[in-house]
Amino acid sequence: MRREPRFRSIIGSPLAPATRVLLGAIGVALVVLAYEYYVYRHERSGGNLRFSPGFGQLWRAFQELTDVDPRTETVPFWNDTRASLWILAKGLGLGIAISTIAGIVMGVLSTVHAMCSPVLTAIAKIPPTAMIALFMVVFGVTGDTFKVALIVFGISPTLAIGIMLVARAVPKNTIVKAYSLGASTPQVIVKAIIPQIVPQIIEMVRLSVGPAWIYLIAAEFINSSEGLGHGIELSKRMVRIDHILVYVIWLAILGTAIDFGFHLLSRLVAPWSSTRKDD
Amino acid sequence: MVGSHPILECKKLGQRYRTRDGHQVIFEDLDFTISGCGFVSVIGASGCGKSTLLRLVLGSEQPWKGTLRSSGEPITHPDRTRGIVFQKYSLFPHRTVLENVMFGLELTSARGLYKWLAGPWGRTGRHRQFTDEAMAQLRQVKLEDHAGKYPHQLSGGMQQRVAIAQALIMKPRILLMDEPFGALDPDTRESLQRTIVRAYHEHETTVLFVTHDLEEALYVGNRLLVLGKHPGRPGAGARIVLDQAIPQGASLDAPETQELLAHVRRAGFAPDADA
Repeated sequence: MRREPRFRSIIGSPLAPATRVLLGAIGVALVVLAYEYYVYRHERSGGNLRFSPGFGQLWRAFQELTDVDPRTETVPFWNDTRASLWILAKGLGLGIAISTIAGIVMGVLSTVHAMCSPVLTAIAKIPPTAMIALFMVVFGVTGDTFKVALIVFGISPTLAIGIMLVARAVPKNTIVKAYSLGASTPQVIVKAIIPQIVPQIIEMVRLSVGPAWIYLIAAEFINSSEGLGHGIELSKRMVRIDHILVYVIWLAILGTAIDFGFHLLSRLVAPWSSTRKDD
Repeated sequence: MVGSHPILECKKLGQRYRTRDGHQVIFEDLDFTISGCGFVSVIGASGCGKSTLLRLVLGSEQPWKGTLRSSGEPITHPDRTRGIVFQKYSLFPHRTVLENVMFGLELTSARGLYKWLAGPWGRTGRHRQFTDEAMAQLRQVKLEDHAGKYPHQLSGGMQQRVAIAQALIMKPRILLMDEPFGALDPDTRESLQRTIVRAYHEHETTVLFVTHDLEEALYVGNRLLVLGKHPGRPGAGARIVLDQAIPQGASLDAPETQELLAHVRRAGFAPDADA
């Protein structure tokens, strides 16, 4: 990297890409080493290895979990993953659809905004997990519906409010400008307002994936026959800490992959915003 | 219809805004007519309502008193007969330079369902023709080499050039400009002033150009409209204190220009000196 003879501060100073990757790898390595050291100390002091599996044990646990179940001839671990991702996709898809439409309508129409915004703000303050009991009664204890409902309820109000705020923050000049170029009101909304806020919508959706996982896992703990939360619950009953940790690491990997996916999506549909710096 | 009526007719126009204790009158009793094509510079101290006047002409704001007609029709909302160049946020960040310039053509050519859903699918079949037209327009403002860039990749001066091309491609009856060069450095500003004067002569349109820079107003315009407040009536709104043709072809140092400058300074910017 070229160094310039100017004031440099450690605050927000830019790094070369290779340096960034290296530092990231060091971060991962530090966590791994710290954990292995903890396991080693635990072993030395005569602790039960059942409660502190090393990475070797975790690898064996992973192989155990991905063994084919002879009764069903399937792998429960992958079944759990598929089941969880499917519910997550349904919940996120429905939640995103509802809140995007609601957010844009509220952001564009002041009357709808005035009517809905207080109600929505209050609803967003309800801890979604407080609704689990109600949803189980309304949507049934068995089946996925109550889990999907919990995710939708959990992410939609906040997401809708966020999208409303960015839609309202679109510079008025660009709206007036679109009219002066001959746009009709639907065209102003579809061609001038929405495309401008797409990157911000994707960013907010990306941030709501985290909460969506929380509600999904919580719902699966409570009642489920499959799913990653169910798998963790079973491992807990059998006191298999190693299995739990494999599930947890797998959740971290899935979450990171989804996050990265949204990153790519944003670059794909809004190439103009990735190179943009704030003015 | 268009032929028999003046391009812009402004009668007894007044505007006021609500404040915490009642209303503040911005201006009142503005009377002026723009008949043929002309380059009208509007100038005045800040708070005189220059930009307010522009918004009224554009139609994004409704007057409190008086009437405003464009080619005989009352102005009710912004439409394609009046183009606008703002000082900031004039361009659409999600469209390239070329797409920004052809935006108006796309919008007005959309029919039926396209009028609603003209998103990425909104290829109207005349895409090729629009691209050619937009490129020709970009050549006029010397930006043909930057057609594929996004607005944030351009300098402030280039962005304003795109905004001018974007407005002019619709062939508006009136082009409104709200301190378009106010945020630019002096060199860029000068070059853009030349651009807009050339564009005005090529397009034979009418320009209403709001600025707070008197020399800029005299350089680009051929008619000067000065808004000012009456020193004796502090609560009253601004009025037109001077409406006069600008001598063309004369340099800034010419005696008649200097005289006009001095006159405007007395009338518009420092009314107390006149009393």
